[in-house]
Amino acid sequence: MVLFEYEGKIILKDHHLPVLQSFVVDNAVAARNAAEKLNTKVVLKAQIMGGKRGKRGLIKVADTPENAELIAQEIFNRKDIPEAPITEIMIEPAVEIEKEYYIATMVDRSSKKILVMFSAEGGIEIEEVARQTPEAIEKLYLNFIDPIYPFKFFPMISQFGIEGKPKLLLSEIIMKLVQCSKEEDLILAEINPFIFTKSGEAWVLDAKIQIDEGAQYRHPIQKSFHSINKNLGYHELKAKDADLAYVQLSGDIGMISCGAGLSMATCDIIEKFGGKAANFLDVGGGASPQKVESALNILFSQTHIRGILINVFGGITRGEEVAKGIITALKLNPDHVPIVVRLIGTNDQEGVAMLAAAGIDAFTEMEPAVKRILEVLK
Amino acid sequence: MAILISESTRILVQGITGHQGQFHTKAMLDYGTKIVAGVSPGHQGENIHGIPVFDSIIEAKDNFVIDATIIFVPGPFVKAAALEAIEAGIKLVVIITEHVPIWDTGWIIERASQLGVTIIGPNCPGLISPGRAKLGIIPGHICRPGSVGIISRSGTLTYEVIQQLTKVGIGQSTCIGIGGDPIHGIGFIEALELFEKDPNTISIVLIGEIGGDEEERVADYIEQSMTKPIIAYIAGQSAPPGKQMGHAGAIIGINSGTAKSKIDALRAVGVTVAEIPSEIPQFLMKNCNNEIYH
Repeated sequence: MVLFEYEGKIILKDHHLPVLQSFVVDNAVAARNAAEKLNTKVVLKAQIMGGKRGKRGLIKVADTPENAELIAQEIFNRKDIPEAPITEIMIEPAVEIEKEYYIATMVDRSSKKILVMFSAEGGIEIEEVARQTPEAIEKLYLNFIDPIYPFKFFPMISQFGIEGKPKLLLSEIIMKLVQCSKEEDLILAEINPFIFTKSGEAWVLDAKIQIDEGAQYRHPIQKSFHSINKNLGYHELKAKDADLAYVQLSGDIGMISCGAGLSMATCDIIEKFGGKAANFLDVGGGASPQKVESALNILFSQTHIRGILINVFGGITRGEEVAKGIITALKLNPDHVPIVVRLIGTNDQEGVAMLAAAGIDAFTEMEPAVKRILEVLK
Repeated sequence: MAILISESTRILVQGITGHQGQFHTKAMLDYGTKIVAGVSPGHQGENIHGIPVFDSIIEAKDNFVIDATIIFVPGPFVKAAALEAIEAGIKLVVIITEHVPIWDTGWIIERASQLGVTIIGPNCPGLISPGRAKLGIIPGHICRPGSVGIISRSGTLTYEVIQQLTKVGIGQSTCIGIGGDPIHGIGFIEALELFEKDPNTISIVLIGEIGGDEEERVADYIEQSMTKPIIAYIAGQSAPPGKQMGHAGAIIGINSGTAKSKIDALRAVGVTVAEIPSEIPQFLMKNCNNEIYH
């Protein structure tokens, strides 16, 4: 889960990284007020998940409060971008950049270690740099268990000819970033750029922070961040409330399964056989009738879905529970689109019998069930 | 023979008094698994399906020899439970739990590595050696003893594949679920290494999915070190980039982790990759002789 810049900066500030004073506004007049309070040239930054904000005119400088209001309104009015509508703009004082650096820390799945990255070429397209001149990014792998000290980062900073006070300061910053990641359970923390100003100040200018949803229980403040739900579409939000793993796709065949791998495979097979799934939906293990019912309701509410395939292989999930949920949902939605059910595993006989009594002939095998829903929808 | 567990492996269940712990303890016992004790802090002296419960692993070990443990505790408590097992000297730890914080998983795996302990999972269905023992939640009745080794990142998709093999008389030596998280203990490479050495395994089925580069790295390993035939299936060919598809580890990144990248890498080293699960038994029958039937 990637956070908005201002949310990420809240976390970094909490961990003593230097973050500029800022305001987050949701209307143009507030933008003017913020610029007045800051009493200097300001930068307005649209708070969106996507990148390349500068190139897309979503980061702009305003030298007066009146201009700040105009620019803010222009940004809020933007309709030509996938992230529209923009609902929040972060306003910071403009600073004169002397030097830029790239600093990132992430939990690296290949090495199973903490990966720290540093470059003296910050602020630019870091993916371009990684692709074309990978040697411009220094990497260091750290253990989870070992304590972290600034001296660990001296070699990677020295590689760029940086010595003395700047090296000490940068090493402290990197250490704080790693420490912050550890304490906040961050999967990724990227500062691009970290800057020195002409007057010798040091600031985090932009931050991309990815939190670990599995660790949210121990970070209550993260639960309040808007970005958590901003990423999600209407049905994805409903599914989240019903504790279902759900991703909106572009097809017209609704899909419900149990288990992420099986759910993905079901979507794949629908496509292989010539159809397209409307969604990925994993009810998880041991699903209750209510959960199955909620899943079906979410799909029934989408008028573009012409048919639904339910593919359950029950381990801890029980056939009769799944059948109950399906039957209830169908009763509540008598004009429903065609449904094909495949049910196998724990208590499948019981579930199949219940479905048969309700007029549904459940399949035992997956691929024939997929073929059937495609046939029915021809 | 099989890998990692057998009918004589003595097993501890951590979180035995919870709903999942109780349910799966019974299923494992019914399958013939040698569960000797359970741990659930505060429940010392209780008895779950005939298995004595202790407050801690030290107390359980005072009474029983323990070769392996399986953890059913909720995410927030997994790190403590796993570290307790690792530091008590238990050499195989299976973590079934999903939603373990990634920084906790990293710590667990590192500590295990320091002390020579094998971790399986987290967020996995565990393993089963059909006809002998199961240390996990894979339904026993869908399996059949045989000589195909299965390694998978998935849970129910693994059951699907097992069922398709069993249906046509192709049995399994050991099935291992390595889990759906981005960081996990035993991986494809370690499992392949074990299967390559196992005289009872004739061929291997590898079930992968989008996210990360483990399938690409295992392709390199296969080229250098594997002689036994491998059939693969990769889930997520239709997944959009940037979206987490259920599993924390199932997400296509900016330049990596697509199903195509994995399929290409595996095919390039001679692995047969099935387009749909039902092709797996067909390919096994083609690539191996009748020894795979049991």
